[in-house]
Amino acid sequence: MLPRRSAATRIERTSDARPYRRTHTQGLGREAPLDSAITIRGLRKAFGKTVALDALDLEVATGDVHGFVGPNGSGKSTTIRVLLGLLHADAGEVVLLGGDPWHDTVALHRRLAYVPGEVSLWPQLSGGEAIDLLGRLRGGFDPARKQELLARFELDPTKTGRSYSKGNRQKVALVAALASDVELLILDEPTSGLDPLMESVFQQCIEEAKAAGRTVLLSSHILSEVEALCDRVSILRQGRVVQRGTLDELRRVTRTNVVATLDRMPADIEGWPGVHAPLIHANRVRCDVETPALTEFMGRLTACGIISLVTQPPTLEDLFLREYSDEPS
Amino acid sequence: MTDPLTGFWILVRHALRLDRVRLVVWVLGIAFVPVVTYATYQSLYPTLADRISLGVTLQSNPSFSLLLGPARNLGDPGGYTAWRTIGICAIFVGVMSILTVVRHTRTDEETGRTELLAAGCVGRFAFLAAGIATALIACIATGLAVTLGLVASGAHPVGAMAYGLAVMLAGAVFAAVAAVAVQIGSFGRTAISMSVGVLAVAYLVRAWGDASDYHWITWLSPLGWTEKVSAFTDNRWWTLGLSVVATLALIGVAVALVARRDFGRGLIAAHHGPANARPSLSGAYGLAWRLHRGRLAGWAIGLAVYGALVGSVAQSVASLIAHSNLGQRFLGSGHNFVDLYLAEIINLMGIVATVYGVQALLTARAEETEGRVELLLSTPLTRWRWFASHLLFALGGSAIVVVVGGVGAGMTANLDGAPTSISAVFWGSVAQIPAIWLILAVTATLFGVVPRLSVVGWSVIAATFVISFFGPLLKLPRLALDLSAFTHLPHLPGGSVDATPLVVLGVLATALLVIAMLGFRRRSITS
Repeated sequence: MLPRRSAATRIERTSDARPYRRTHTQGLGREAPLDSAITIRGLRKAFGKTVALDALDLEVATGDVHGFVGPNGSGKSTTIRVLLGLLHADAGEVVLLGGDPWHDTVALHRRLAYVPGEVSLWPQLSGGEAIDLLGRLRGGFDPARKQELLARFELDPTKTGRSYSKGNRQKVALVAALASDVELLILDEPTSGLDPLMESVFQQCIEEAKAAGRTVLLSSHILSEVEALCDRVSILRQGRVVQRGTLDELRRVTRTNVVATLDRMPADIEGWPGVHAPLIHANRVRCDVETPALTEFMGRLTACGIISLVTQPPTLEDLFLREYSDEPS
Repeated sequence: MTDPLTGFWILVRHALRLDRVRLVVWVLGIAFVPVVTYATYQSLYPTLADRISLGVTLQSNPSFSLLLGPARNLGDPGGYTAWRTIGICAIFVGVMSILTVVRHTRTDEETGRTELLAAGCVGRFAFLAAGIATALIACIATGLAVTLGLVASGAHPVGAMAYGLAVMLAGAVFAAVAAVAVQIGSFGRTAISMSVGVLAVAYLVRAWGDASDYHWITWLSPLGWTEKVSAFTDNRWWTLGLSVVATLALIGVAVALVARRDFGRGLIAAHHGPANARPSLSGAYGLAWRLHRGRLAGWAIGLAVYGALVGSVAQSVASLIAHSNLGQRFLGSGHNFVDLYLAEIINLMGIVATVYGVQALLTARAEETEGRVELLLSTPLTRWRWFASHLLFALGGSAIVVVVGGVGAGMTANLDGAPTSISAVFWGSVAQIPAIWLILAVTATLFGVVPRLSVVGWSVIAATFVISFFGPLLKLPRLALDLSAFTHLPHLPGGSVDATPLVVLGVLATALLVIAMLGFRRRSITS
């Protein structure tokens, strides 16, 4: 077993400019300084005239499951390839597990496992052989763990590489990554080919990895998965991180959807602070309310006499859609 | 969908559009061989004396002569062209047909593109029919290009037509072979291996028939029928009928098999592998061994068989040359003609071994473009080690292939009682290695520095081949001949050895390999 950095301890920080983090409790309860598994500042990478990454900043804390969210072509995979030392950055600072991904490649790769978005396997090797090969390259793994994962993912390891479907190729790479004893998992849209049952197995596996103190960088555009798993999220758009924070923080900058039936419809509701796009039908109103204005809004609403009230907290999807539809590029 | 051929023409047009560049290159490339041969014969050897001396050049280049069938009618440029080139054209057109049929049937089915179309309004047999039709159109185009090219060069139209039809129908037979193979194998690769295997056997059967006393054996091979048309000499039209009958029969078999198999499956089910890897499948070299061993074994066995075949006739070729007045007059009586013959064979083996080496190197490129390198290099595997593992098999494998081929030829020549020693043949083969490695080092440098241009390695081989085997015929200037690394090698066995060019080639290859390694360590991994 490789020594693993303890990620079991967390502190809540209040004095810092950094936002609150929730406390993990599976550890000893001892407080230790927060350190980060991945730090990227001002990363730039262009392919010819196409700028793939433009001043990208990313911070992944050790022990976190970090959601890396963005549409196709936003630069998620490019960032990951820079982190793996496959691409040379044009500019910027990248620190991975305390090292430089381009120069300290081998030492760093002993401590991480990667699942590519588009898994390609060797046509002449069986899935089991590919898992063993990758495991051996990473310095060995527990065969019992491999068997357990194969069973959980319902994967037949005897098929050859070209016989697998996309989802099954992804399972091969996932089993190889999850079976290895590493501190950091870098997963690039690992579930895009999995069915819902396997998606839930995957989520369990990530919960376990988190409990074991591993750090996970999870690139995804399956937002329910990110919401279920991730402590913090970075949202990419056109090669930049445009939003970052915990889900709670991100919800704070978005809006809550409110549908209310009132005794008396106020005439000036459109002018209330933080209220957007109200639709009024007789004594029913539907509108979006900015999170900071929610308390005042509820006070005014109460004064009008509430008959019924439905509120919906913003989902990551709302956030995502807003991020990509509101702003001009 | 009552009509099993619904959508046929749409599929054919689609396939032709996808393949327009590829097939045009194939067709023109194949037509180039006989047309250039015919044209150079006319312009470079106008007199009888020239033609006699040419005969001597050809006799010393027997890989293209004796084993391409009995030489007849060499005084006529058409007869000479047919004898010299029709065999190689038939092989090329066969490979073109096989690749075309497999690409538009099994490979599409394997990758799921067919499924997309099959869900539309397409008949059950339309895919197979379209694949075959596309290949046949390419074959017809080849036949036309060859015939018109020859006629334009001044050949007799009847002979040119017999030549064109023979080549066209050779392609048709192998299109039909591939049509059966894609029903049997579940994967494109399997189908290609099977079909190319049939092509190789057809070649060996024809060669054996022509080289042995049992000439009837030649008639068992489709490539034998091509030869027996005897274009420009006898123009034996009825042998073309054999090709037509074989093509139709094989297509019938393929159609019967289509009706009996499930979509996406072949008659041979996809085989399963072990659930756990053996201890040997570990690290970069363990993986490289798995990826390369099948191909290496295939090439080594193939060249050993070919070497044994050409070696077994060394004695008879040598006595043929030695006892002719021409041999005495042009080459002198002191020569060991067996050695001259074997030196030519070994030179050919060297170029063929380079083909293996470039193929092995391009495996590394395929590993990169198909995204598997990304997965490998995300582990604690250094780029250096990964690249070195593929270089080892390209460089070492090509050395094995050339030595096995050369020694194979030497051994059968020796068994036949020819005056040559195995060690001389061995060292002659070893002497090819610096030239082979230089071409591989050029390809490796392209891969390491400008990976997109890796395939240019094929062009280097093609140029080397043309310079080595057409250069003297085309009377290329010395400078052009010198561009081929093989020009600088000693002619062994028999010739004298000058170490300087070997050392220079070796140093150049080493320098390029260092550049390749440094370049690969610095560049981005693409996919």
